[in-house]
Amino acid sequence: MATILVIEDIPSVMLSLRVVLEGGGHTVLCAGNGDDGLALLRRGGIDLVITDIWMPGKLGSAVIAEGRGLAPDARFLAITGGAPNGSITPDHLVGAGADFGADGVLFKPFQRTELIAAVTELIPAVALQP
Amino acid sequence: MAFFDHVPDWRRDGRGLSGSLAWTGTHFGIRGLEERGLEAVADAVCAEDRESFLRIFVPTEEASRAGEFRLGLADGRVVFLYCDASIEMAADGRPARIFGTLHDVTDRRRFEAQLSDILREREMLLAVIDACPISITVADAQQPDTPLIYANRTFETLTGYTRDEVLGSNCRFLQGPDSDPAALRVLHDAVVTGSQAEVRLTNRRKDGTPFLNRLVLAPIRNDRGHVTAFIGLQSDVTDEARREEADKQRQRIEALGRMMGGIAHEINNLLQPITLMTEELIARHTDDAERPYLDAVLDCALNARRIIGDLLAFSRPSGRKAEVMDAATLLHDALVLIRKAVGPGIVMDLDVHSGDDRIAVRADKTAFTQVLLNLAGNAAAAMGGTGAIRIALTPGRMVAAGSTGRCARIDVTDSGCGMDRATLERAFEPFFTTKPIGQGTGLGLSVAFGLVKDMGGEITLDSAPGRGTTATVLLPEVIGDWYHGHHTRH
Repeated sequence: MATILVIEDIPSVMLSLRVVLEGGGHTVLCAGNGDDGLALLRRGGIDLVITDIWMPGKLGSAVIAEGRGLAPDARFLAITGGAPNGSITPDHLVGAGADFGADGVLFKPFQRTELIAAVTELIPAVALQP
Repeated sequence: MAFFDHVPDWRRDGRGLSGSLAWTGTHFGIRGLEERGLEAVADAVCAEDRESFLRIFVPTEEASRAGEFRLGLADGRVVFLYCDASIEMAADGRPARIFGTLHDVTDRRRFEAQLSDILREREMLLAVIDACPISITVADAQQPDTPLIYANRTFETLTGYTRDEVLGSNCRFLQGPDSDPAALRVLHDAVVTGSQAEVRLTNRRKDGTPFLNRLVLAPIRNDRGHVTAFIGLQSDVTDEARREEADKQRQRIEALGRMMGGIAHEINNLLQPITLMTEELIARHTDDAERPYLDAVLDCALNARRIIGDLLAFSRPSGRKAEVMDAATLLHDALVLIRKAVGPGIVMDLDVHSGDDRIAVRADKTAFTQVLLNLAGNAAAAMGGTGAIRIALTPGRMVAAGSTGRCARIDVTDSGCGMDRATLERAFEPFFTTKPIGQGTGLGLSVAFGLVKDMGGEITLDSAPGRGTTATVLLPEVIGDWYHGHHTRH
């Protein structure tokens, strides 16, 4: 199965993602902010990065941009629940690219089946071999 | 004044100026009168007036002549002279003797010139006031009931009354049943105390149509400080007030939208673990007797997600896939779904302005259908589930960035119960509803507002209790030759 890095600042969201992903047989690494996540990514061996977008410190879109340089083979899934102050504007989206530079986007709250489908689609076929 | 008696010597001078001149009285500053006689007078006459001077001596049949000419004197003075002359004719038909009087009329002419200046100025001022694009009236405070004594032309065009109809009356004839009593009190107080006041009040034109009048009342005082009259300045601010109101409403809704966006972010993050972990538990306890408890939790989470999703449609630019398409096609496609949704008691009348004059708009089909569905749903509810909804598409005008100024105007009209002003003001607010508790989330119009805004358009409501409601959606026209290519592909 795949090794998945989850970058998410809210512990309960992180826990729920881990429960589902580990239940699916994946290895899950956790980071509570962008910089910690990039440090883990630098060590290598990660197939998929699931990152929140609006986090304190580095934004998810920046994590994706930097992460692609660090791990060219990794895929990126953005998860977002909208901007904390509701200030997200079309300019914002255009500036970041409407998909935040990710290979896929899930809008919170997404369901278990949506998460599993997105992960299955994004991780390389070789990693899926048990 | 001077008296003169001149006997011309025609052999010496064809003009008749030479000869013997007897002069009694003032010389009017003319030099050389004794030596050169009438020639000296002719030299002193202003060049422009020489002809009228000479005409007095020209041989004609008339026995008496009068004329006026100016002298330009060596010291720079100009003297206006009036000449009244009698003539004795010789047998050869030429004047043998010319005698008469000369008067200095300088002062009189000066006064007349000044007077005509004053009259001209007064006329000009009156014309300016009359042509002023603001309505101006004057009311006489010294007559009982302060009647109007002046009204300019703009007053006539503003109110529909002619001056003849209103002069002599107190201007309360403009008031109607909807004139704000507080504003009237302010005006009354200003008249009583002789102070200046500015109010906005609803007045009525002669034909009964109301308009919002911004009225400035200013007292005119005489030397002793007594108020003798009031100037009234009236302007129609109906459109201005409507724009202000619309702006205020938009700002309020946008502020709400930002708040909703912020709340949605928090709630979404709370719903995420509830959803995922409940589903994970359901997956692990498929055959468990207590599984229905988990189903209930999940159900709540998904319902909450739906409400938050609606809220976000109101507040969040969606990044939906907007495509450029013909407004009529968009409307037709949407109506197919809506007819099914509104229920059997509702008739949908569609009035599509068609022809060559197609209007291209940028819209997301699903979002547009949602907007129309929400509007039609409200219309159906307002009519208690039975009645006709009229949907009309016409070309309209709106101000939008990068647009031609033209737009597609879609009116959704019902003949239902209508809304009062207070309801209308809050109609777009999220969770504001007039439906009984449990029969609507109060998000329908909020969502429609957000979706239309997302398409660069505008949505407004026009309604009154008992008169039904018209919801108007304006979508800006998209410019370019997209349509031709789009069309031929089909």
